[in-house]
Amino acid sequence: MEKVTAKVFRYDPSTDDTYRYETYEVPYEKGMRVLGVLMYIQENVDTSLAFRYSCRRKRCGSCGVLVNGKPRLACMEEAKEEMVIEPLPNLPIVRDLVVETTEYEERIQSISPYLVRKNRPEREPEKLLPNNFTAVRPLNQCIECFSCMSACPVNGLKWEGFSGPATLIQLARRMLDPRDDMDRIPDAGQAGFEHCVACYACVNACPVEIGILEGVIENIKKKYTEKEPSVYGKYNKTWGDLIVKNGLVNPFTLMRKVSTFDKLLSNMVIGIKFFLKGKISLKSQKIPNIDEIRTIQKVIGEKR
Amino acid sequence: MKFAYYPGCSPQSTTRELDVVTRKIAKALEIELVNLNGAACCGSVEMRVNDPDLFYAINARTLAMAERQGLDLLTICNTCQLVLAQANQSLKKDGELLDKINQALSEVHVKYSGGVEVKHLLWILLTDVGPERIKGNLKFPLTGLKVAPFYGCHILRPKEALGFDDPDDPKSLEEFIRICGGEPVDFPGKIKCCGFHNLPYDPMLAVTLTGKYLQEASDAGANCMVTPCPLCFTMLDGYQREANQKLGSHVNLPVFHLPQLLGLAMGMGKDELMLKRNMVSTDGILRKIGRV
Repeated sequence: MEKVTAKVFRYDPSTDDTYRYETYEVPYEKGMRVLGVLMYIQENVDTSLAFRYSCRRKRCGSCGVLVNGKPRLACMEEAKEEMVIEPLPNLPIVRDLVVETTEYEERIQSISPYLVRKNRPEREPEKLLPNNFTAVRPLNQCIECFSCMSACPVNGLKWEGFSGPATLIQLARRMLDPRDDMDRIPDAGQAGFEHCVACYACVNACPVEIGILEGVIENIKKKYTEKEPSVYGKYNKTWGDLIVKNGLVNPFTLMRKVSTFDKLLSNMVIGIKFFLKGKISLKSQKIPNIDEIRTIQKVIGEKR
Repeated sequence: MKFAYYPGCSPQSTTRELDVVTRKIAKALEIELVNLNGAACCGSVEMRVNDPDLFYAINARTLAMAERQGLDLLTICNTCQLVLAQANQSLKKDGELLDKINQALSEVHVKYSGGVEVKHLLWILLTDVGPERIKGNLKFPLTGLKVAPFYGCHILRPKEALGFDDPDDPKSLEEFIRICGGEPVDFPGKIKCCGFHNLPYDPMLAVTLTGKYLQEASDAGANCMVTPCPLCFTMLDGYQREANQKLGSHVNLPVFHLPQLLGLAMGMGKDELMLKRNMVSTDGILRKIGRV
């Protein structure tokens, strides 16, 4: 590869009616990153190109952009022969590739993203054992680049009540910290964790490889459902109960047990259509050796 | 070629046609499917939240059933694929976890040693069976048919547990469509989420996501859609009308299960493929390819 052809999103809301794309040809250097391409354009072709960066080594999280439609850190993403470089979506554009992240920052601020200790430790200096921080440590790596927010399909819909994966990471950091003694359950409810669709798009986008689904959202789900009744909790529990009862989950039984009366009523039409197509079985299937599952559950319960 | 067959819950109820047609195309392609009598639900992405030990034990029990036969596991559902692959990966990596789970399983005389791979039907068709053998079985290649591939999430992400496709730029479903003689149609939503897992408690979100990607596929000029996942299928086909109502759209896109599309190209008829069970009529597609 001798050169990089970069099609770059350009827009200045103070002067332009709409956005445009400009194409630049940049001489390729071995190991070149997207940030290097943008810096070359700014230094040699068009000084007005606006983009954010600071540390150039995956620590500050400020150079997040879309590269060929995928959220990436410009400082880490290898330059490709042909690239479309755009600002992170779903946010107001300040200029070109610079977006206004205040909305996301405010969401994070709303969940008190700091350690709250109402009670002093029993002994000082306090003994902090590494094992007690196993769950928190990976979450401390978050650089708030908001790549996860860009990748999340629910955040993309601006779904009411969902604060997005980056907010949930900060919430889980505190919920899982053994020193924190603030009741985080109301914030978890407010943050709308149950709207996560478990699609792993955030996990795939995270440049510091945080296991956002298992390490963050599933931990919040667990802690929340232990303390508060919720539709999600009912769904989750019913799923497990049906496996122990039958070995298989009949979707109709699951829906019937989880849905409220008004939800069931609103699903009547589609329910009848599914029934007429033979897609709903009123009788749950049971695996022949269901006793094995029950024995396993009993043994695990006893060991716990 | 022989695999332990794990249909999962949906193809034993809502999408029974997927199980039936999978068995038919497997027979035609000389893939022997060995039933795992009494295999339980994988627990989806939910069970491990409340009861991780039971989640591992139930999946280790299924994997042990396949291991006893000396076979790898063939799945036909994205979520079953991911969940079993993740459980398998953890059990293989973490000896302490495997020992703990095997202790519980010993009560029912089951032991898993980590000797099984979990593979989705799509991957098996492309690698173990291979394009040439499939093409050799086609009687009516789907020439001129524009097919939108809808991957679904759990066959792509997380890459560490699956690893067959590049999750950002997958190729396998497009390759499958080409092998069947069709023309893949590109659209941004092909790697996105249908929202199925939120359907019981958050139906409007699920329907909104589904509607968005159906619209994108339709706008891209697709005649129909294919998906390797029965859960995505339930949303895309079963809830298409609801998605139209929610979004005020007018999409009419027939959706096929992976083996239904292949069966069509292999010359199987409407009844054989159980196309009457699809909620969106596939008659227009059959006419388009001259099969009516």
